[in-house]
Amino acid sequence: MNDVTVEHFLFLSAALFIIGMMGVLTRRNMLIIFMCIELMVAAVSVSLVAFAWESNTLDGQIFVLFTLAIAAAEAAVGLGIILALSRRGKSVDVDQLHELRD
Amino acid sequence: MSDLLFLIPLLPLAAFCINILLGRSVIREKAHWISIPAVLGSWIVSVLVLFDINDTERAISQRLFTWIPSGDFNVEVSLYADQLTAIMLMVVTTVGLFVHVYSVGYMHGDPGYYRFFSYLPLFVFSMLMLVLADNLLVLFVFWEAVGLCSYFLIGYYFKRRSANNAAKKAFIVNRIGDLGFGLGIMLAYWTFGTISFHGDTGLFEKAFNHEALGIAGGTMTLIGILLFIGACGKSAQFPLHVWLPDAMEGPTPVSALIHAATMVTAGIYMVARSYTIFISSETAMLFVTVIGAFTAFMAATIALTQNDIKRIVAYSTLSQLGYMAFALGAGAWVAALFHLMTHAFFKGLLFLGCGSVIHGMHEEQDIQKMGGLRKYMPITFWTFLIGALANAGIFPLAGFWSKDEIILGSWISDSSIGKPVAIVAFAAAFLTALYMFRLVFLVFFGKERFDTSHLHPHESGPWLTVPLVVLAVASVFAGFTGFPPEAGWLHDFLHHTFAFVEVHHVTMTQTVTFGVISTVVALGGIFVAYLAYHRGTISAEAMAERFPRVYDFLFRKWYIDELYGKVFVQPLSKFSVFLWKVVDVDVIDAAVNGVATGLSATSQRLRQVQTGLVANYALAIALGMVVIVGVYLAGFSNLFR
Amino acid sequence: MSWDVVFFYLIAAVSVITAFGVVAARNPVHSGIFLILCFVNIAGIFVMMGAEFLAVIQIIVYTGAILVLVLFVIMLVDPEDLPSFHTAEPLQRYLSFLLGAVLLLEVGAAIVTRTGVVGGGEATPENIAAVGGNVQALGRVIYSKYLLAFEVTSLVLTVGVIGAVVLALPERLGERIGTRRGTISLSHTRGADLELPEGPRGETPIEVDRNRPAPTPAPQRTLVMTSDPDAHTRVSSSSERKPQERV
Repeated sequence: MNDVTVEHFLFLSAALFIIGMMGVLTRRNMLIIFMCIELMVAAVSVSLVAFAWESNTLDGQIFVLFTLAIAAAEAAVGLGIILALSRRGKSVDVDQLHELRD
Repeated sequence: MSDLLFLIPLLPLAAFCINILLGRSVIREKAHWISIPAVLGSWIVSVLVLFDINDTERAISQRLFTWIPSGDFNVEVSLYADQLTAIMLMVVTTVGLFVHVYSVGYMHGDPGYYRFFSYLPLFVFSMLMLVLADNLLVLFVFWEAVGLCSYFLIGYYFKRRSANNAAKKAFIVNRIGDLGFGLGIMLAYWTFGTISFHGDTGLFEKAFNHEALGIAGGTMTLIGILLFIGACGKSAQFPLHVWLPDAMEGPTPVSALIHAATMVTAGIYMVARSYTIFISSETAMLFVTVIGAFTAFMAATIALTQNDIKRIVAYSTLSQLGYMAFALGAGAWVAALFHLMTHAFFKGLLFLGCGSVIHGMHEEQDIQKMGGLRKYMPITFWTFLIGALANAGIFPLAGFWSKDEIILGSWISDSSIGKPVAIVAFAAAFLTALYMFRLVFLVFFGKERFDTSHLHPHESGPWLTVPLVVLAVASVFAGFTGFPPEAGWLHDFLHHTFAFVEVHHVTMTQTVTFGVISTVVALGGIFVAYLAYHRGTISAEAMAERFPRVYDFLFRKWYIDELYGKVFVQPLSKFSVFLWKVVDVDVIDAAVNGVATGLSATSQRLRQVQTGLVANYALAIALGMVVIVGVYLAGFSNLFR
Repeated sequence: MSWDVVFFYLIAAVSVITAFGVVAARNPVHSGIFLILCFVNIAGIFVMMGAEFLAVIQIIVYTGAILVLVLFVIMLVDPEDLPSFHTAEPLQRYLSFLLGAVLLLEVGAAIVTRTGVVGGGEATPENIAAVGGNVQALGRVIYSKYLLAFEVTSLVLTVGVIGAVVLALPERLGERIGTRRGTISLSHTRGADLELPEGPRGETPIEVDRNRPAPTPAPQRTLVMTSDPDAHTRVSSSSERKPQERV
């Protein structure tokens, strides 16, 4: 415990990921679910950078960079969908969107 | 001549095929033009075969084809004709021919005319193949075939429920006998290693030498008893006799041919054919004798009380079959076959006469409603009278010689109960004469007990009367083939078949004594009938009232049908209802439906997984991920190493 | 106990707590704020691992752009009062908590028993310092080894922008171009059964007012290129303009 090792970061990443996952599974508001997804992505980024740090390579950081870029695009499109949904009169409550059921 | 053997069964078979295929469309009421020539052809060839065998004193055979070539078990279909077969062939074809002729007139106008004339030659074919068969299996096949034809013909008026039931009863009771027969065949095969009758490896040689071959006497007894059970079914011995009276539902020519002359004699023929098996076992012979004698007596007692003209004759047939059976059991082989032959003629005659009466009385069958018919139907009357006298065993008609020989043969036989049986036979003979002449007096004599203004009985046409006359002639003269007793042509002829049996020689004194006793007994029966039913001195009704329980017992056929109903039919019926309601509906249907319902219920529950909520689906994804990670950890990581 | 450890635990604690706040907050705006805080802490983690560029990018792009966008959308969407903010089904909730706990245990077990790759790469801190720092090192790798990915990512971003624009477009743009009946914008229904407010000049998002007055032309301006920025700057009281000068 005198040093910060990779395992510390990995545990942190795991914790953040799990918290985010529980948010995704639990919350009803679509936007909050979206934010929890972003949280999960961030947790994975931490994990990737931790591995890159451990192995003295930069590939992990590159990965995160590109992930960030793609996440940005995804956010744009996803939020656009949410906006479109709400403009059509549907609510942002995921429990109300069950047209797949029947 | 052996090359022509195949024609004998082939011609009726061809007649059947033509009639059944083309009958409805093309031939219709001309169907008899196909059948009668066919049976006539068989008859001619049978006569030729008879002469041939008589001249050469040797059997002839013709191999047809191999049926079951299965390693050691090689079954060939061959036609074999020895003296016994020759006699049977003559009986079957003669009676068959005249029944065909008679049926032209009797069945005239019936809508199923072509059907009748297809089943009838089919039956003749089956019966001929049965007597020509060379091994037990082929015999069994045609044994079943005659049963099948009997079913067809009894149920000929298939729109009548009673006819259908009678046909079913006949077939089922036959089947019970066939179970015994089948077991007997299998046991015979197992014991002897062969089922063919003749030749060095034949069944009968081996049976006769059974001690030398190391076969236990008990096995022989068992085989004999099993075979005889089959004969009980087919030849209507007690306790499998119940189908024969009901079989009168069929048309009268059918009764004449099948249930008097031929099919019911198949059992007698089969036992005679297997005689070496039977002579190897005293127990089996005893079994046969007891059952035969009992049947003879029982049927005669029942016939006293019946009122349906055909039923009386049917019980008479039962009784005479009992005679033949106990003759076989007592060792009087030739006597039994002699009686078979004469009985075919006079019983056939009696049945055809019944048919003529019924026809003339416009389908009335109750003798209590007849009377004085000799004025209206003279030819029928005289031929019927001859038949009745022959049946009662009056000298010098055919029945006298054969019946007398049976009783004498039983008396002198080696069997332990030969003498008591002979006495029972005399009693039965008395009853035979009595009920036969009760029939004659009630039907043909006395005042008309029917409404003469509405019912005008008339003599039947030539199609019916000519066969009656021919059979009457046969009933008179057929007995002389066995004259003098035990030394006639028939005896010499048939002794070649029963080569392993000692010939019993009877003295003239015995012959005359028994002849006299028989005649006295028969005349006594006739006299009592005369007193009771013609003169009225003894009142039958008073007798019935004085012994009501006896009368009921006899009238209800010794309550055997009721007994069977209670013991066998009802439990089986309940069992089958149980099988239906519980096993089929509740178990099997429930299982099948249950599978469907279960599937449906399962899918209903599974359907609830599809909530449509994304959160649930995400949960499923997460769950799967956890499981996969868990599997990875457990299986492929350092965790547990 | 080195300062590294202290800082790590501090930052980690805050990030976990703010993460919880994201998940548990009732108000989505609060949730967004918590997420921002969490990302800032994660940027701190990145710095601790030597990924300074990523840390800054995280704050600028992720926090500054994406989350702000999210917050804007939260405000635009105007969710009505949700009676309960967790999902209604208890099965869902309990199962997700259970799964979280199990997954934590599993991942913990995996982390503890892993065989790590120690060292082995070229990007040791010395090498990185030799190149000139994290940014330079990343630049070297991006533009050589991951060039294709870089270009494709830019394409993806373009597509994303187009997609977002299409999703948010107003309807009936197609009427100008012809008889196209299909909607370009998914956010508006076809039949104009939604009442939308008019624009300042009276235009509605559904119709374009062709009769609106033309906008006033912009005043002419000249562009002068000069090396000295102060040369042409003047405060003039008159509206005369100096003639164009070339340098």
